[in-house]
Amino acid sequence: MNETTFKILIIEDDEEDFLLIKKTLRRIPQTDYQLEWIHSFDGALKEIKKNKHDIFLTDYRLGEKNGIDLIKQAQKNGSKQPFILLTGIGDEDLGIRALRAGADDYLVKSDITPSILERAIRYAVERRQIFNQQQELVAEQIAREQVEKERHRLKRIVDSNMVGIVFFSKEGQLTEANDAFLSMMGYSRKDLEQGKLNWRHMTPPEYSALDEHAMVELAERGVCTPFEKEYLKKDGSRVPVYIGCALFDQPYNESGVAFILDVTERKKLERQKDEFIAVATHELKTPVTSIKAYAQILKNRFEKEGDTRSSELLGKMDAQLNKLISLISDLLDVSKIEGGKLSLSQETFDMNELIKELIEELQRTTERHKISISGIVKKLITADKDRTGQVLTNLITNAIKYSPYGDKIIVSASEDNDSVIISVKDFGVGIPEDKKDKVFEQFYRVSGPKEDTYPGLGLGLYISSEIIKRQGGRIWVESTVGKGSTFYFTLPFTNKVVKQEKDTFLESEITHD
Amino acid sequence: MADKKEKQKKILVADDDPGILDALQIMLEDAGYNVQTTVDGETIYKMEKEFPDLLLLDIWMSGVDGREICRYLKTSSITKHIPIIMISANKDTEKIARESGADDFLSKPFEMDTLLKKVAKLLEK
Repeated sequence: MNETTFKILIIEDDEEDFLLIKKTLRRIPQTDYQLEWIHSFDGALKEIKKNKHDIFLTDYRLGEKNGIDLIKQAQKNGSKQPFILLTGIGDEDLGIRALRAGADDYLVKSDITPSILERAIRYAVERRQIFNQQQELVAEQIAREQVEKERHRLKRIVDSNMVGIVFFSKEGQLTEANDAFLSMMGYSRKDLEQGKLNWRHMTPPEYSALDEHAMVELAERGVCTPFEKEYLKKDGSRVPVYIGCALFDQPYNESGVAFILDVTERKKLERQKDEFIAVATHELKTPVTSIKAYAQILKNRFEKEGDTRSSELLGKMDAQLNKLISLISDLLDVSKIEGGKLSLSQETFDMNELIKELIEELQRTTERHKISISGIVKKLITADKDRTGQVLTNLITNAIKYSPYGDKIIVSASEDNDSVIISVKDFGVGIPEDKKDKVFEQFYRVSGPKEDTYPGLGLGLYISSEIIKRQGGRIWVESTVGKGSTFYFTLPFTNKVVKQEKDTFLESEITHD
Repeated sequence: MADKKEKQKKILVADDDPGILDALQIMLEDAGYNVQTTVDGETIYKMEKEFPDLLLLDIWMSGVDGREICRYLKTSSITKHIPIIMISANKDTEKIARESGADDFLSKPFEMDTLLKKVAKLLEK
């Protein structure tokens, strides 16, 4: 037998009326009506939300509220099942209001017969199914249009060509690229369509490690921190870029999008800036050289004539000129570091002697401080002697400068298996814990207790740390505010960072003859 | 006086900055040397006789490359004996001087004592 089943929720505040409807439904043949009855407005809304009924029959009168309001509220809550409103008295006006509110039909209770009710239920369910299907079609159409609109918007973003944008699949194959990217790299759209573009193949070998680093981050987070690299253009030349990537799918596979900014111009400006500083410092050095020479000539002449006072004045002038020269040298060094042009030589020397020489020289610049040496390095070291001396000089002059009330500075030397360890200890102003790493940054200057600054460009420690790091060593500071600082650096006995060069000119050509 | 002049060692200074050239001349004359100066590198190429006992040579001279001059003098049999001190404001003076075959180098700015010691040492030979 073909028996149809309808799950019906009857919302009716009068039990008598409910039983009447129940009885009427029983009399309908070949249909199984599974009834649930609820008498309150709020209870009904809760049941409707469960979405387990095929149809709702609701009385107009529901205590304080009414069936029309229930229909409105239920549909607002997303209910898609049909409603039939039952009314006590024949009122066409009420019927029209119910239909407008979203009811599928209305029946006057006194008119209800099994056949009328059966027909009303069947038609309401049927009509609602058709309506819902249409609604779905419309929704699909809207969604399709929305997707199309999003796709169009995405394409417009890509086509804006402000930056290079590429989509890549597994193995680094570029599947899509905008004109900005293609012209940046010198490829044609045809090259792209023929599958000739692969970012792995377009990356110079020395950037592979950087790329792998980014890939690890991508696999973990789905995005990577933008970074600088170079790409090989079609003609083999290189273009410096700033690149950021994101992967599409989770779990992250290798397909995603990358934004690529051509930084050729910025690099060019940086180079121009470095060159300008280099030229400017060179130009500054020329007059300073002759002023210093004249000062020394005069000092020498006064000395010969026995005019000690004038000679001493010129000695002071010479010392001030040396400060000026060291400022100019610092600027030049920074421009070299920034431009990657800091060249380090290698020579074998006795660290103890270098320390001794420098201390003798620097002791003359201070009357207050007694600079002492402790410890000894037994082995000879191979490094850039002048640059290493520059680091020591910088640390000792800082120790003097930042301990205006201290009276001693201790330079210690020691060694472990493969490195020398040098430290310079002062009893001065000290450095706060949170500023300890900053002192090695460019332009950072330690402030005194009253936020007063000490003279200088804030470049010395930056240059020192670059010199040490480039030679495979480490540099750091231990400090207590008000008690003083100890700067340490290590240098490997033989460093492998810098290429081996011949013995220095002085040793091989002059002093050993 | 003339007698003394003959015993004096002759030093040629080549630098394209007149200030430095002047200061170097006075410095070396005060130390008792006979000093000649030039701002033009070409004149060194044209030297045929009356060679100096020592040459102070700037690496960057306008128009002429001091390194070329140095190499030229050090390869010619009649001039290769002349000691050459290269001077420059470049911190890599040492390396450049070595590559050009100079006997010594001096970085600008320099200490007078250093200059005079280097000059004396090369003239002692």
